[in-house]
Amino acid sequence: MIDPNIVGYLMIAGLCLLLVVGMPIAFALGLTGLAGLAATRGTRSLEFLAGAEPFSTTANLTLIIVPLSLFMGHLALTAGLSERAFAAARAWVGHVRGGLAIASVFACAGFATVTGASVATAATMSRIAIPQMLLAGYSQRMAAGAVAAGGTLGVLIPPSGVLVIYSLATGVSLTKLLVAAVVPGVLTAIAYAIGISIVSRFDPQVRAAARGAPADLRTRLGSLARSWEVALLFLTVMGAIYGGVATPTEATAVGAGVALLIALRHTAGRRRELLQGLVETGFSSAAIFALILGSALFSLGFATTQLPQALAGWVAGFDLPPALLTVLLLLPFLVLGAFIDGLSMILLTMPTVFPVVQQAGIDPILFGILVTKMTEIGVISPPVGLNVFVVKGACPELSTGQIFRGCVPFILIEFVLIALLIAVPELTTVAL
Amino acid sequence: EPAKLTYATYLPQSFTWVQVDDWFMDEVTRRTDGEVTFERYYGGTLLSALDVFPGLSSGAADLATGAPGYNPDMLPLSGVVQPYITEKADAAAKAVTDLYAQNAAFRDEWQANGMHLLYALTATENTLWTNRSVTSAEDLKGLRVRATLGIAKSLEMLGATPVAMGMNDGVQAFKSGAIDGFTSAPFDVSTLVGLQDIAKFGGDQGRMGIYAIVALAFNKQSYDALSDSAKAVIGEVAAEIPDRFLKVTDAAVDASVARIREATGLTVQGLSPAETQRWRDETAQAVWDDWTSEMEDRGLDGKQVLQQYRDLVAKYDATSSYVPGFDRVRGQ
Amino acid sequence: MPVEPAPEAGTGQEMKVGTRMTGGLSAVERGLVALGAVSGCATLLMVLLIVPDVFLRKLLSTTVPAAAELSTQLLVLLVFLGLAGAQTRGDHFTMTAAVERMPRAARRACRLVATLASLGFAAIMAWVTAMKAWTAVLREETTIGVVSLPVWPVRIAIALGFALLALQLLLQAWRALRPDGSTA
Ligand code: NA
Ligand code: NA
Repeated sequence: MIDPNIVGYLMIAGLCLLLVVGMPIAFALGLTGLAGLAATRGTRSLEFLAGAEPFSTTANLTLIIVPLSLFMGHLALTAGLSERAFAAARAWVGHVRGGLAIASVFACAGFATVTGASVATAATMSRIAIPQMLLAGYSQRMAAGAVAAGGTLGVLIPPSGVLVIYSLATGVSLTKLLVAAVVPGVLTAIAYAIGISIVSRFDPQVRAAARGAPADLRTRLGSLARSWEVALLFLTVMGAIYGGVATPTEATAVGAGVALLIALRHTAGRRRELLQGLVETGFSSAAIFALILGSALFSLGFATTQLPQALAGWVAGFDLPPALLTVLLLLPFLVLGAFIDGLSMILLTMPTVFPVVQQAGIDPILFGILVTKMTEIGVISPPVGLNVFVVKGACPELSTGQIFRGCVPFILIEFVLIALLIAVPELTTVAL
Repeated sequence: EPAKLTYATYLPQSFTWVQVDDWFMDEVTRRTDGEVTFERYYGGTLLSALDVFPGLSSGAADLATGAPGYNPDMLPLSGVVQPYITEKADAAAKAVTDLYAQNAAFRDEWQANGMHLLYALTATENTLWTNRSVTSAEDLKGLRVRATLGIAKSLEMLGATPVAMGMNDGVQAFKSGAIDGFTSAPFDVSTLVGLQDIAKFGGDQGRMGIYAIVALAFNKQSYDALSDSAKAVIGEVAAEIPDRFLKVTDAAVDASVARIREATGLTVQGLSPAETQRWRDETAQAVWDDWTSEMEDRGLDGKQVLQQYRDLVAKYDATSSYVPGFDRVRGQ
Repeated sequence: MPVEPAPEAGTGQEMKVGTRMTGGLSAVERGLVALGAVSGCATLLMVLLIVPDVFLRKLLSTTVPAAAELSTQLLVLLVFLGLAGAQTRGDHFTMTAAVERMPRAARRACRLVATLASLGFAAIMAWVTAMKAWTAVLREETTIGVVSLPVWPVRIAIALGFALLALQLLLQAWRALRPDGSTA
């Protein structure tokens, strides 16, 4: 029988080939996953595992937030809410270079404090923020990159689904992990803002968009007053969560309900557009979930090749000082993150990696934060980056390549932050 | 000839049951001099919670640990571990393993699905975590609480509003205040997901005890294909599992007790003996009857299986040294 | 590795192809898009289930029975009944960068390979999920919550979704095979 590890390499090669010939990414991931499963475990296992996967991946209460937030975004756009919110944002920060992108990042950070998923954050923000940034003259790269990367704050700022899984996989205290994640999370948002400001210098489109004098106070206050419905929507969603009325998913449903009422008021005679929003939400969701399913099948097949475990084990075998070993231990996550999702990555590698972390005296909490950062690089790195595709699903007019390109500066920022956290581990122990 | 077996569980590696499984597999490999080795998949990387036993049955894994409660259509009688029967985790575990050996109907539901149950473990006793004080059934009125299985039925009868949610969803909902309470959480697991830091009150109200099992089973074909000597070693190690389980669980419960004592915003509660008796009197029989009638609908003699389980539990309960978690918390 | 970005013009083209195709769709394809459009309305049903549930829970301490289970099932329907229509409309994410730089003949060959490979995937998935649906019917599989809902209707919808996706891909493969190359 063929060595399972070889099957793993063949899967990656096969995937790349299928992507090059232009096969839909979801199906390419799925097909290579099936092939891997068949090679390592035979057709009988394949039949059960592949047959069970679509239901167990999709029938997940927390994922309902994806269509709900896409729908809410459509409604906000149809009713002209996004336009007015944007007018307000422009009046306040339009004259700042990259101001709108920075505002989007902080809006993502705000939403991140109530959700533990980066897909939810990216889905919620992209439909609202990106079309308006494009209208203001921002490049696709900047507009989409800011939201795709801003979405990762959903996981980096607590609560965080990835930290929950890390905690369960390793037994490290979840409470301590969440407390430790606060400062790095906020730091990331600030670093993204600084990064946007720097990149904006070299982006002629963004520079041009910021030309013009700052608006006077009257215009600013007026624009705020005109966007009262946006404030209402925002307060409904956030209020429902912080007021302890609803979970983020439920609050998004309530938000969509409120947005629907507002949209009905504004779209008399244009009711077809509301229906169109539902239809587009449906097809975007189908595409996004097909990708999630494809990733799940690929991860499943890839797991049975034992390659992730072998990769982790190989790196763990080096006898090195803790700081260097930390960097080396993070490398497999960078490689795996290009193809498979963060949660599978943690569950597959931790049984091999974590004992090494403990033996080497690496702080398990710091390591958890760093691993979380690696999983978030994975969702914005090519060829398979879930956030990028969520953004593309919400704004089909964008080019996938441009979104990935827009994410590059943020990935570089992540590398800098990871280096900073390794150099100054105290950043994760700052008590609040 | 060497055999490499695939082990799968939906549970993460830090949970007691998986620690027991890891010990089991390590011992089997050691005592067979490497003849039997294991490829291990934790945390649902091969089989998710709902798919563990269907997958094991179809040969997607050679051995697997899961909760039969997720597959009532496939393993109905394995839901016999109902609340209000015992608070001793080890007694319940031994009783279920015995039940498999002694009760033909119970054994058949595993074997008919091509599975061989090797050992049963149990969740530790139930806990209730709330954001308001619960010292009587009246306090449950209007309490929106995440609950599952028999616990949900009992609390509903007492006036609470049970809400069906998975573990992670429930924790998030409880944290945000979307629900007022969280139950159907084994003592040790509840502190692993951080309930002691979210809730204002925590306790063992109603003393509902052990309410669910977790079991390690083999795919029957994979098991039968093993050499006789390997099977002998597996049986020998399995016989040591109850002691091992008690040891691992005791340590996990102690660690949980420490976490609860560290939680500064938490008040530990319990009911008066009279109120505890009242919860039991008002709901226990009804919850059991509910289950036995469900079995009847499937053409199974649930009544007999439940009685046999209770008899077996009674035998082990008396000699058990296990002390429930909240009794340890209060015993400082 | 198809990591280099597509030129912006490429995306525009991609969009135009999508729009043009809607005009020349066969009756079957129009049916698939319509099915997806109808299942898209599941999002509205989720809102109509969850919002009353939230209010009932907060105000009257009661719940809409099985709101969570039903919304979850609606999500499954939404996704899998929309799968084929999304393929018809060209909504599934694709890396077009490499293909766009190829000469016409190579591009046609790639399209054929990609379509046939996708067809293979959809067909296998249709088969294995149909097996799973069949088991669910036999076992009368139910959700495990406070309320037990049957799972088999949703499992059948999954199998149906993949079967329809395979049908759509079959149509596209047929078109890609035709000598006049009318698909370019
Ligand atoms: Na978050
Ligand atoms: Na990636």
